[in-house]
Amino acid sequence: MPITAKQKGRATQQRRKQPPADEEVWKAAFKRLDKRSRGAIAIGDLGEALRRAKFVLSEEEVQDYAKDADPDASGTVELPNFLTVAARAKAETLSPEQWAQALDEAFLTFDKVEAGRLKAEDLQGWLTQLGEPLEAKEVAQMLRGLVDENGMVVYQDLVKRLAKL
Amino acid sequence: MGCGPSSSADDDSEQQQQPLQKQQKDDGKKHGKQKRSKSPQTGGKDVTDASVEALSIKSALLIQKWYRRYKARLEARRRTTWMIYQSIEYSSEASQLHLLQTESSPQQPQQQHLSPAGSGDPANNRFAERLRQKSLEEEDQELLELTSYEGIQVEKSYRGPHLSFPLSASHVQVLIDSFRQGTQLHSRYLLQLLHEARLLLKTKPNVYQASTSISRQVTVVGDLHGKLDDLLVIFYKNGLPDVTNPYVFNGDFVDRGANSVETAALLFACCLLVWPSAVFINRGNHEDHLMNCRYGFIKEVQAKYKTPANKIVRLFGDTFSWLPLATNIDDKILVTHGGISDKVDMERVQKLDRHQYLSALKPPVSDNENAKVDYKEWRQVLDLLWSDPKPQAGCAPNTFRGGGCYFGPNITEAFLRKHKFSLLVRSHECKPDGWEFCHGGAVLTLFSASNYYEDGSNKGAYAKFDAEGKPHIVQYMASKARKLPVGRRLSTVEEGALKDLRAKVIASKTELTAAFQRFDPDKTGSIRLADWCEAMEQTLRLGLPWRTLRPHLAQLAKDGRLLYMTSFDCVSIQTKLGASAGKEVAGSLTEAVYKNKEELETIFRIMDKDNSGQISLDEFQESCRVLTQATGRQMTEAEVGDMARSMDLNSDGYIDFNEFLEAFRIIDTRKRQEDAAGAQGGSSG
Repeated sequence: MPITAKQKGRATQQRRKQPPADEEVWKAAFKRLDKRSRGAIAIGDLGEALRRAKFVLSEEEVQDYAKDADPDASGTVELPNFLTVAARAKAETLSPEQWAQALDEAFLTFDKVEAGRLKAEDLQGWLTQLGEPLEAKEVAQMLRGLVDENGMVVYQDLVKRLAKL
Repeated sequence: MGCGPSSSADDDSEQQQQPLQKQQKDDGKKHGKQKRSKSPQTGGKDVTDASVEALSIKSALLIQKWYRRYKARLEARRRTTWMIYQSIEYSSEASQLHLLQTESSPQQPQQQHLSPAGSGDPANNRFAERLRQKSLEEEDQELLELTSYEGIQVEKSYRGPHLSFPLSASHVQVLIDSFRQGTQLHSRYLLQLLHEARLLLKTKPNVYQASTSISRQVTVVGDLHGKLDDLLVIFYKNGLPDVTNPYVFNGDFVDRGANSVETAALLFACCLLVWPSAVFINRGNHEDHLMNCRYGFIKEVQAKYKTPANKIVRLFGDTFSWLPLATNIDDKILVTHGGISDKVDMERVQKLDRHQYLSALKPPVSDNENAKVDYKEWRQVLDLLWSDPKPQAGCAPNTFRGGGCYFGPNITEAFLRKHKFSLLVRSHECKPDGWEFCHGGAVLTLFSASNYYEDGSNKGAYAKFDAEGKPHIVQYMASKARKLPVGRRLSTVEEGALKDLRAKVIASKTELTAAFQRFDPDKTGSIRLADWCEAMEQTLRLGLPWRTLRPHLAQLAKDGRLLYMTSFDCVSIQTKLGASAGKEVAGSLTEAVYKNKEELETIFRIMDKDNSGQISLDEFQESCRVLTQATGRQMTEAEVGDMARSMDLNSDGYIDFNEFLEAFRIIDTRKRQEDAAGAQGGSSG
């Protein structure tokens, strides 16, 4: 569904209220992916761009934003549309601290005995089969250096690693 | 604990606790609930089960979202680090070229003597004299006398490799084994080797013709920059060169790395002399005496060889000028170090006299006052060795580097079509993976020095082409860094880049402070973040994402404004100079010297005719004068005189400029407290 003028107005208003710092981060993320300096990125790069701009999004959410980012379905996203989408994402998502908390709770879901540890193998299984599956090598990269000799992961370390950047 | 796909017996006890969250591939179990998609199962008694399942899915999703963001952020950080290294590297190259080309502007074709403006009679100007070249016969004769190895004896105590000519394959192996152990080749053998190589290179055309008709394949290697480790990895993985295993080395095998001498020796001697038709060595922009003055090759030779260093340096310089400029494989692939431009024409390239260009940075100058400098011809050499491909169409001067062109996809397409090539292979630019295609696959960049900027910064790569011209690319990394998790490795590389960047900031303290203060007329000590970014870019001109880098460089006040003087907190320049004379060297002078350290070093080495590492007081003062004129940076005569005298430690009228340069170092002020009282000079940052 294309953005209505009203929504656009609201988003622009929100954008004006943002501290300019955020917009700079979004612009920088956009520019990195706009390799030919055309003022537009491929629609397929939207997720990467938003994530580099520090948003935590699922693929489904990215698809949702994609419709607004590319209203004329041209396959490209121009900078102004991208900024509008980013502003919307900011309004609709939690702050990084809240997210880190939620991440902690997510691990707790799997850690029924609240031991603070999970089996690396199990983690691998869940993350490559549930939700929006990751590849096995991505999970391996995520856990590298965090698995002790018993094959266990102190997931607090993982939360720190993921939330740090 | 929940269950994963593992079906080991150990898990059974844990599985009892969580019978609901089963995730298995086989359909055997009665209570098994298959969960592949996000939609939970339905069914009467499954309501509680379903909500628990939904919760696991939601949790998994959250973790996955975070991981994807983490991966993207890592990539963003890697890009920023890369930009820092590259922009510092190129801006240094640009200032080098600017320094050397001050007076050789195309509008003045009559100007034959390349001397800094207003320094009086060129004949008396030592700097210009050093750069002028002589006629070929004069030169050859002089060279042979100067660099003779005849008088050098090999001591009985020498434990390094012995060479006898003509070389054989076993000599190659001996050299490899010795170098791997860290032994050095004796100067006599090195000189002999270089003489032979030079003679052979003189017989080669400007563009080698390579053919895969016998070997059915050919390997192309990119920049090595004195990284002997990488060369040995390549030989290990791909075998030593021979008629069935030919190699093209695409330039830049010296400078920057610690083993330029050994790398060059191995390439020349072994490959060229043992297998002359199986090894093709192209010239790179670093096979150039003037570049070597600045980027470490001459320094390495002097440190390793001391007395005979002069001969070795001269002979290398001349031998480099005889290296061909490109290799043509099967008339299908052109391999050259930098790239092309809209002016490069292979026919012209074939015909020119490459030996004239002792350094590609200066047009050749002859004693004949009426001879005109052929700028068009010089252009060919410069463009081949210095250009970079760019995504935008067209051809523009390469302002980033200061020499050569940026060439676009249309330039490549026209060039390939005109000369009937199907691929351009070049090097010259470091790439994170060691290789990169661009211009729709028409250009391949190969860079073979892994860990170029820092341990773990990038992989190296080489390419094997089959008889049809199809490449197979092999990557490698010659260090332990690859075993670290990606985030950790990135921090090391990032820290290195930030260190270099902070050094640049402190070296421009005076200019930057002035720029900051323009935004702070009321002298509050703080300015807006946006203004800080603008001041940084205006002064340093590195084209970096300053806002992103800010947390590493300066502090914010509580109100969000930027405390600009904190930009200078992490490091400071320290100098030992003047301490023995009991005087403080003025802060701004220290800064000026540090900022121009590389230029000064280059000038010193050019002045140092006999490559002894020492110059006279007069020459030192003149060097500073040249620098001031070329860069417009101020150092008064009095200050320079004081500095000079304080460096002349044994009062014999000569200055060891290595000592001089070492006296100016960046130190980490955060570590200063640890460096204790009394220790003068401390440790380097």
